[in-house]
Amino acid sequence: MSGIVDPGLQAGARAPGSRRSERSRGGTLGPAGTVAAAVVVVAVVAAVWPALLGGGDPLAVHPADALAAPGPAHPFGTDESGRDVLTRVVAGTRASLVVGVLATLVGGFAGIVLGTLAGLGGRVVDAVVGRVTEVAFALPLLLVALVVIAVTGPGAVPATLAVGFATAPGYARIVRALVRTARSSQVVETAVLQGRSPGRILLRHVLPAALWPVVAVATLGVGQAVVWASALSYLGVGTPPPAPEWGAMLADGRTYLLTAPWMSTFPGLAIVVLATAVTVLGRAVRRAGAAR
Amino acid sequence: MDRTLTSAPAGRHPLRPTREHPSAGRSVWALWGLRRLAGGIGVLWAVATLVFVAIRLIPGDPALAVLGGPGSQASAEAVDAVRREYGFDRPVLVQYAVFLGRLATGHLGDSYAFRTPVTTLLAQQLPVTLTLAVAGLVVAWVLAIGAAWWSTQRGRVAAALTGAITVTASVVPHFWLGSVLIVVFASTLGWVPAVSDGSLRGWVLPVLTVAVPVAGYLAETVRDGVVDAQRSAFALAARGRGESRAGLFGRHLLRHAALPGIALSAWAFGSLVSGAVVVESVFALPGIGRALVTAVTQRDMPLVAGIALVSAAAYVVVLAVADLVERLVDPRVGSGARRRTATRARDRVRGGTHHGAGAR
Repeated sequence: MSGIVDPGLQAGARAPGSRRSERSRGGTLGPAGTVAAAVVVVAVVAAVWPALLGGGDPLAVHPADALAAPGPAHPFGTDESGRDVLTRVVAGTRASLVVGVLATLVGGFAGIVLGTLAGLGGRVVDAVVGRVTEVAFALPLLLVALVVIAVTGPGAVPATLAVGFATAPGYARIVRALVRTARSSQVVETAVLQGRSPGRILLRHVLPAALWPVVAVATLGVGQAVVWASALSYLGVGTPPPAPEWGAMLADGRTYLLTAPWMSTFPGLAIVVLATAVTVLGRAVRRAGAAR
Repeated sequence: MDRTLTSAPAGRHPLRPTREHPSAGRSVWALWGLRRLAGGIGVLWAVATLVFVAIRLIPGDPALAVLGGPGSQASAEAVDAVRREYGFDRPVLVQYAVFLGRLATGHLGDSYAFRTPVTTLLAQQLPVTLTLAVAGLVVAWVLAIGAAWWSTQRGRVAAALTGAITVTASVVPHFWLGSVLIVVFASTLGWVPAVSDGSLRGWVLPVLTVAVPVAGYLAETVRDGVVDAQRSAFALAARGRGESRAGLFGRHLLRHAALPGIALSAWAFGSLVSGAVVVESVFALPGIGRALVTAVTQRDMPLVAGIALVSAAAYVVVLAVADLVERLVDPRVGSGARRRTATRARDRVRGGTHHGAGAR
């Protein structure tokens, strides 16, 4: 297993503009990666078009059917208000995936800005950014997220931002290492000797070299972000119930854990399956990227 | 990074001196201690600054925030008293100095929700969380070593199976794992209580829940290290001497694989505390994690600040201990090869190549 610097070295040594589309590497994802990709595709379909898989209104209440065990009418059972758990799990995909992707984008963007500053700036800038990320790492991720929420108040948007900010230092470290590697690569040296402007070198050579490995890591990060965002919902500071969000559904199911375990089991299973699939896919993408 | 026979030896090298200058040992340790201390104080100072900024960012009167937010119905005299006490009527820099001064003398303020000093609350709750984190780390190591054994010594099927389990384990959310364990072991089988009752059996499920995700990625690092070591010269030599499979694994491969794991354990601490926050809520354990969630929902900033600082302090200590253990276990202090390996293992976790950027 290669360390984080290795893909950067390869990316830095590669001629720019040779980035192929992800589809052309489909064959190199491997069996596990292909299964994971299929799961992610299903999740994306569920997020974009929930009616295709679950149907029905995730908020429709049928008190007569409350707390029904899984059966033909309700494959995943119903919750305390008679809402169909399967419909809610399918509907919850959108909330979880959107929060996960947005949080990763926030974290990734903040990380790229910080990391590029540290990687290209002088010693002082590097030291300052290095210290800041070090301090952010001194705090557990959930604690950083909770401190952010303590300031902003609970809700879905604060939870997304909180997870994003909490993951930013991780990306900053990776980007810094990649940018430093790319900066000392021959491609950049040649460009400097050719008299290219610093901005052009940054955009054409340094950032593209750093971007691909970050995309691979960010793919892994989406899985984690989904888990952390649903953890915040579970703790009652993220997406509030009765919105169909997996973490919020688990929080709901807590009261009925011993009488209606299906209320907790299925949303949780959805988180595990999605997070695992995204992680496996992220690794396969990284391997495919490193193998080029 | 293939370790072949020609590359730098991965294990102990018989010809390498154990310590470069034995006479200079004491000053090296003193320097190490000073540097650690300075770094730790720096981290705490920075976290305190962040907390100060966070408190100032809360909209509304900071004096009201200290007294419990806009809904606290604090009397005008109380607000005035707090304003004077914290110096909210003075310039921000002075307030900052006052804030730091209070922290330096151990005054974390009073929690408005519990109406008690934050230090008292932390003293009550910290042991629970520490027990959870430390026991979780121990269990995680046991599970990780077991998984490394299965994935490297039991053939391809076991390797693939263990690989799938460790990936899943490293992403499984604590709150779901805890719920499933409660349903299976407490509700259906009735082996252990569902809600922690203070007995030893009550700790089984919470500790297991905290440990499994950490074990997931610890196992992957240890396995990578074992696979690495299997290809090295010392493994070949040990096998040549007629070492049994278990002996080779326990005495040679694991020792090699453990060092990056030790460095990783320090970083796993963050993950354990994150896990503890959730697990304490699932199992109704009275630790700082649950207090933090309550404090955040009630915007009890003194308590949030106190928990952030204690957590950062704990992290500083854990990092120093891990560094110390690493230095004691590995004689090649400061010399190239080992530091690089350890740093790389750390970077893997920090950088999150294995588990996304959110491995903490």
